[in-house]
Amino acid sequence: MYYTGTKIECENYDKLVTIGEDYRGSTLNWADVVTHKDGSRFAILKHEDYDCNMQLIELTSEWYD
Amino acid sequence: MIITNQNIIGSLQRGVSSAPSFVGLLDTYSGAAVAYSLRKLKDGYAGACIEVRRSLDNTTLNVGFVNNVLDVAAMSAFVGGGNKDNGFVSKWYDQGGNNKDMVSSTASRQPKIVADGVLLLENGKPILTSDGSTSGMTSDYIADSGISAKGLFIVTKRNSSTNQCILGSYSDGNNINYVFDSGSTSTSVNLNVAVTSQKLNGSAWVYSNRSDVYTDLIGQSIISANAVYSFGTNTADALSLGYRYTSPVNFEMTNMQELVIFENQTDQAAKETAINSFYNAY
Repeated sequence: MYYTGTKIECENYDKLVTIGEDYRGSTLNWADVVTHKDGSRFAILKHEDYDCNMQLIELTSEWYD
Repeated sequence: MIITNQNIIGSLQRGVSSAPSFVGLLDTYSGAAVAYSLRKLKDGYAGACIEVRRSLDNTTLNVGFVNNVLDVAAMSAFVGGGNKDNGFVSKWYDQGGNNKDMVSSTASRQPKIVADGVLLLENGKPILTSDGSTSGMTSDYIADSGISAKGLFIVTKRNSSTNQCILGSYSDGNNINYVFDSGSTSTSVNLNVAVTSQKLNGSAWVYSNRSDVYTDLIGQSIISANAVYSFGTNTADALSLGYRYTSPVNFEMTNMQELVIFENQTDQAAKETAINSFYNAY
């Protein structure tokens, strides 16, 4: 499942998880922000241990080309 | 001659035959541009095989080799054997000598090698396993730099996903390094790479679209091919596992056990036979 929101909201969710998980070595962050092919919508993969109030969606093929 | 302890020992030492030294694929065949494997490919290679991140606390361990294969005992001890202990591969070291390591710096995209405390295997050998969604890795190796005519050798298996790509690029969707496996409406496979003399598990392999690839790669697959690249030397074309490393939702990587790209096209059949003698895929 993915959270969808503004680009900044998605980036902040990534920061939330990344800080909480304290990654080391080659690992730098939790997930990349996904941009809808129309450029106007954004999403990020949900981490099972981190909830937030963004909308949950399934990422369908309409998101990418 | 005066017999002393020293010359007795010297005679004994000369008579002792040493154990046969390891001869890896890259000891027999030179010219590798990049070489990734879960076994040792070169006798003189002294580096690690993979960097593993464990889910327990996200610490990492460089895992090397024992008896010239991945040190699974050390890795399993590090990752743990509980039903929530997972091991992810964050770096796959290049044994080819050019330091073109495959890296996946985003946690959610790293392929698994231990799932719920169990080592993931294919035909008895460890395998990097994609998550069925976004797994991918990337390097800074650009296939069209140097000699553009390459010999590709890949040990892989697609999973149940219908959207996979064996070798893609860093960010350029118009160039891929080798073969889409996809259920998408597009049927194109190799983009800006001319492929000839292609074999799958020892037999000539011909496909015309992505559906063919999807069907053919259902099991453990040793692929060999000659390829000539013609898409330039932009960093956007850097070799990746999966379609576009910067577009992770599109086409993920296939499950991987080995990838060697030679900067020559010699000895294709002999190299393939040598690889299969280890994997026994066919």
